Amino acid sequence: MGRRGRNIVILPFLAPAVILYTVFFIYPALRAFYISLTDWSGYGAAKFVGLKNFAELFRDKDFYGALRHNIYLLIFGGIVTLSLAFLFAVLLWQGRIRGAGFFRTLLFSPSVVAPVAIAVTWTFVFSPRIGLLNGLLRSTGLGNLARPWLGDLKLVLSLLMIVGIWSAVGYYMVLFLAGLQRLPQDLYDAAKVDGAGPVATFFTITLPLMRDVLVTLIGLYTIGSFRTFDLIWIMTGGGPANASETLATYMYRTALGVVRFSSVQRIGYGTAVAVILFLIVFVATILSQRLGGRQEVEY
Amino acid sequence: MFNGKSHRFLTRRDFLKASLLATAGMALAACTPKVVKETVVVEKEKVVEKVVTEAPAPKGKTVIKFMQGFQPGENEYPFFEWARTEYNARQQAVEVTHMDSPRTDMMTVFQTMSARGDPPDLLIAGPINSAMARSGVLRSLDEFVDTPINYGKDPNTAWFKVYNQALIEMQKVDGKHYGVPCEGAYTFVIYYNQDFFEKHKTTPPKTWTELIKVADVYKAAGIAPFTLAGVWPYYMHWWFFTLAQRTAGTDALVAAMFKDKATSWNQPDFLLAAQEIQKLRDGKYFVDGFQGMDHIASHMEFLSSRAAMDFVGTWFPGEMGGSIPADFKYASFSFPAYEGGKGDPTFAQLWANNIYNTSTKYIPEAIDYLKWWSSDIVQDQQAEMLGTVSARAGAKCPPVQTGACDQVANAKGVAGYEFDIYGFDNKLESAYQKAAVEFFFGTTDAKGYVEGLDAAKQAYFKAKEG
Repeated sequence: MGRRGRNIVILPFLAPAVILYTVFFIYPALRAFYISLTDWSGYGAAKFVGLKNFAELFRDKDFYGALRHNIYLLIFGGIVTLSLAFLFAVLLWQGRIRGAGFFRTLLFSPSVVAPVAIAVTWTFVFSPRIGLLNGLLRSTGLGNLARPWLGDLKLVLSLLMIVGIWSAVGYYMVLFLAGLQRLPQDLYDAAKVDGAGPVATFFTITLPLMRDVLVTLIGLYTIGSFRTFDLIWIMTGGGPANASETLATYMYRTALGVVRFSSVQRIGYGTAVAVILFLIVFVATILSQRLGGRQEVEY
Repeated sequence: MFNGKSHRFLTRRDFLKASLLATAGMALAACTPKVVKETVVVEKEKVVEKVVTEAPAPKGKTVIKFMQGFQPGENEYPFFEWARTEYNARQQAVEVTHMDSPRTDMMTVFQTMSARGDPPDLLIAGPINSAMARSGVLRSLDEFVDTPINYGKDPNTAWFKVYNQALIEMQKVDGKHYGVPCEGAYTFVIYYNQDFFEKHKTTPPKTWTELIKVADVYKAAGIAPFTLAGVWPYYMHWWFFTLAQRTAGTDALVAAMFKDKATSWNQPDFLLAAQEIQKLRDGKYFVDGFQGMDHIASHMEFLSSRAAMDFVGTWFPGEMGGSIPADFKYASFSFPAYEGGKGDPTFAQLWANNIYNTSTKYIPEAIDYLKWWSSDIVQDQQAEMLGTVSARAGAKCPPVQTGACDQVANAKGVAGYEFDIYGFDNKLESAYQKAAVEFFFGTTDAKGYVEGLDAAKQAYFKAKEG
């Protein structure tokens, strides 16, 4: 079958998906760019204001605060999540741990729980009066360490990051495991014959061969980190005093005015935040692919 | 899988033809004008149906769709069902149906339905939103406000005359009426634990000094005088604003809040209010750990008898209804006056949850249902079932709301200034809340707080004006 013939075969299979994707994803996404250039409360006609929303956004301290929090979550959350996930994956892959299947399931289990349920559960854990954490501290004589965790302006973002790490490690671990399982055993056998220890083997064989997986997961983590919304919104609503505000919560709060249903909605302004968020994720993804994804892995 | 036999029935060529035909059909369906309309409508209705469930419409009757924001299982829902069922039982030609959309999604659903030209006939949407009114999605009620109410003990009374007139006036947009305040009048009051007050022989205070004396009694008894939500900062900044109204007066407060860009927060009367709040903060009058509590956790401190008083809006009985222990006795009193303060102590931040008549085709029917809701029959039942303070003068007052009812009835001045009609928008409110959190959490002192409010206000205007 020639190229043209192949296209004729492929097109009808692709067409329904392409049409649906165009109508329900690409068009709304392009439309969002237009809405970001308008002043619109959600009612009546949107008023075109050009780049006014973006100009206001770049003067907006809350926006920069939210962006800083996103970067903090991305860098520190990313390093810890991916390091732990890789570590657990290697330990489980090497088969040196008894009950590896059990631990794999245990670590992965938070990934199958709805983020809303995770958020509610951890909110109770951190509750100042009836929370598990303060209860534990008080019952072990460490009551002086008890505090209103989610109300602590300096701690709240880190606590949310810890919950995020707890819920994401298992997911990334499974992806690392999948990558590890395709590595050829003969290289390890050769390294063993050459007298390489576990650390040298890890840094000279495992890590270089896993580079493509690592880069892909860094890209995935970047996208996921910037999109994080539900966990933060339910646990703190971006507060207190914007101490845990991220671009996603800021976008939602601004666009949909969710404080009360009578609130003034600034959908154009909120969509401008969404456009910036999209551009950041887009650039970050391209960069991560460019920096690490080009080199083919050769065995 | 394809054996020789099945090949005879469906060859690859046949399969491709069928696929092409199906794709062409879809493309045609998307291009043909008549079908486009049907397809789009069906798709949109499907989207809406995920969020909204409508009761089946009986044949031969005019069906009024009422989007009301409460769902089965919520404390408020049975009352809405009662009002609807009672009304329907009295009608021959009209049937009211509920659209049980969640409050959080309701306005988005409403916007979608309005955009496609098929909004619900009635909408309950909280205090009036001028952006909504000015957009044309709401119908002015001006021509109906003086017509008879038709229901209840005073059927010939002009419809809007039954309501608190100050509230009615306050909610006009560009001089026109758009909403009917029949879902309650709301204001801030302080609820107190009656058992505590009886046991410790304290009485509802009238002045700030008396309030502190009462609070000291509970502090001495090892009970937190006040509960407070730190994660939900709304109540923190209203503690200050309410006291600031008492110390500085309403006009000064409104000017400082948003009305006059040049009016500073950094003036003696506001500083005084902040210093009084700082005394409460530093004296640990608020429940321990409030910084980490949301509003529900905070209210539960009060309902679990771990705090003696709760400063909250009069929606409290309706909001917490299912969580209030049967043997928990509570009542409310007005926010106290400040001795020597410039503010009218009868002043109340008062607003109403409205039922709007949206751009309905069935105007007389929709108006009739709004009148039914305004009747003493429905208003008294609402007070009974939900503990709501009615915006209707002389309506039944729930026992737990006596302080609130007095406040609403006696308020000489009211203001809805926290809502957009007066220009206090989300962005500014959010900035003020941030300053309040820093103050109540102890990061700043009273002076720093009023300066922080000033900085927030100036930054808001600067960003707005570009």
